[in-house]
Amino acid sequence: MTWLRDVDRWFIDEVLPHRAAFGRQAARLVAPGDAEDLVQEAYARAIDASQQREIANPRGFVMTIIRNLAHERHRRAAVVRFEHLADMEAMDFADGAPDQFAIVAGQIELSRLMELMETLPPQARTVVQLRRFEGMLPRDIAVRMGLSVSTVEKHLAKGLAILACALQETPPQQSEGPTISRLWQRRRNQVN
Amino acid sequence: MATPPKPSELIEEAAAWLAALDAGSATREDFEAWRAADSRRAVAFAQVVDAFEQIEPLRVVHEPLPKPSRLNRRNLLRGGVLAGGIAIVGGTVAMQAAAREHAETGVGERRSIVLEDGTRLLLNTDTRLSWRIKGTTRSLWLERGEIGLDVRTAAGPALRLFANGMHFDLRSGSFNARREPETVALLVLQGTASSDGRQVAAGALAQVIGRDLAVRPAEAVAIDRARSWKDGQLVFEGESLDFVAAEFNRYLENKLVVADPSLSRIRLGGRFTNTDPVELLKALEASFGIHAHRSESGAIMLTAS
Repeated sequence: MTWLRDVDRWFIDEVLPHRAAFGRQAARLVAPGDAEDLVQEAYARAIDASQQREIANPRGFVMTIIRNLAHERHRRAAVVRFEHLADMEAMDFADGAPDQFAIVAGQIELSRLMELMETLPPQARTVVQLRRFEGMLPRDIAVRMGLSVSTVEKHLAKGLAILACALQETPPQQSEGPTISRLWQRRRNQVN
Repeated sequence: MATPPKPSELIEEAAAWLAALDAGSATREDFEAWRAADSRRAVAFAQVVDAFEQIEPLRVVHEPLPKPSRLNRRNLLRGGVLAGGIAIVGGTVAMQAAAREHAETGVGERRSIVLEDGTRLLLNTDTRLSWRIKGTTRSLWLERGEIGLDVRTAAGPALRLFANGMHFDLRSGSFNARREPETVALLVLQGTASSDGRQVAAGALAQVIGRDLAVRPAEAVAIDRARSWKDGQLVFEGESLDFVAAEFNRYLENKLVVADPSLSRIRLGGRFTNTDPVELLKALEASFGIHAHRSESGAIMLTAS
């Protein structure tokens, strides 16, 4: 890929491999619907900062940004679910040095990638496969599939967008650090 | 201030740029100008490049795709490029067009599907649905379970969702539909839906009971729930233990059984991983002294100890 600047390469190699940890961090701090947006905002800040200065520990750096942004959002919010606040303290020991797990998790399992490819619409999947695995150029793919180049372009864009979106989602299984479940309960039946 | 684009929209935009650069239909200058304007765009673009790189390991399991036969290809070229594009996949699509396609999940499973029209579906546990896309007509049948839908409509008719003999017309937006034996509930998270001329706006819950349709504003917890199951989480805010057990049981092979009727009215709240009741059981033990043990059939019996 020749369209990447140094800062983009740095981002892909040093930051994105920890995406699963970032996603879990964000999910513990804010409501589920806001987590993805929080991570993206942190990424943008990280790219901005890395253009100004050297970042020694990219993982810890982004973890800190996520936490600070969550603090900021909580301060602005009218109501905060107490689970989220309670967890702010628990976060501190969850964002230490990169562990072996995080490094391994940066590489996505083959089986998950295969599943992801299966979710693509057939035409988009074919275009992605021909482009990536058989190294065919868009114009050759167009001839082979009997499509116009601009249609091939649209299928490639669609396929890559679906893959890129799916890769940002946090895989459901493994958990790291404290969970957010906090029980609050009442014996309402005693009151009645 | 305009609302900032959602991450997924930025990623789509970035993917379009990458594909355009790749096909040579965009200039480097235009692209650089787009990217430099907002670091969120640089992030999205890097994520798309990363996706392109991440699938590299699949090369080893990739089998070369069969080339279309010479005869086919000549026909295609004669038929014109666009018509050819339809014809080349026409064999399979045409056959499927008449039949419905199906997808389902087992207990505790979750699965995402993207339909040909770009509609994204996420199937929750123990769900079965079928669909048919024919020209601009899109029909979807929810036969069992719960789905999240991300519908895109440019022009043309809305997507029609059938369940329990009723139907909803869904325009662009985000929806959650859940079917139970006696009822079906549609929650509109974004966009609008309608059923027999009745509008269901964003933030509303439409519930079909028998032949009647009731539309009312959705509670915040209902919206939270519709989002949380996509991350594998169950949310409770003061519901009875009976309700909690029933919700958990949708995801569990080994069901929770409230064996002691005196316990069923205990109310609790919290957020739990839906496929693993261990944390719930621990909390029940610690705070209510409720004891859990496994019966011979595998069910988890809850009793007051």
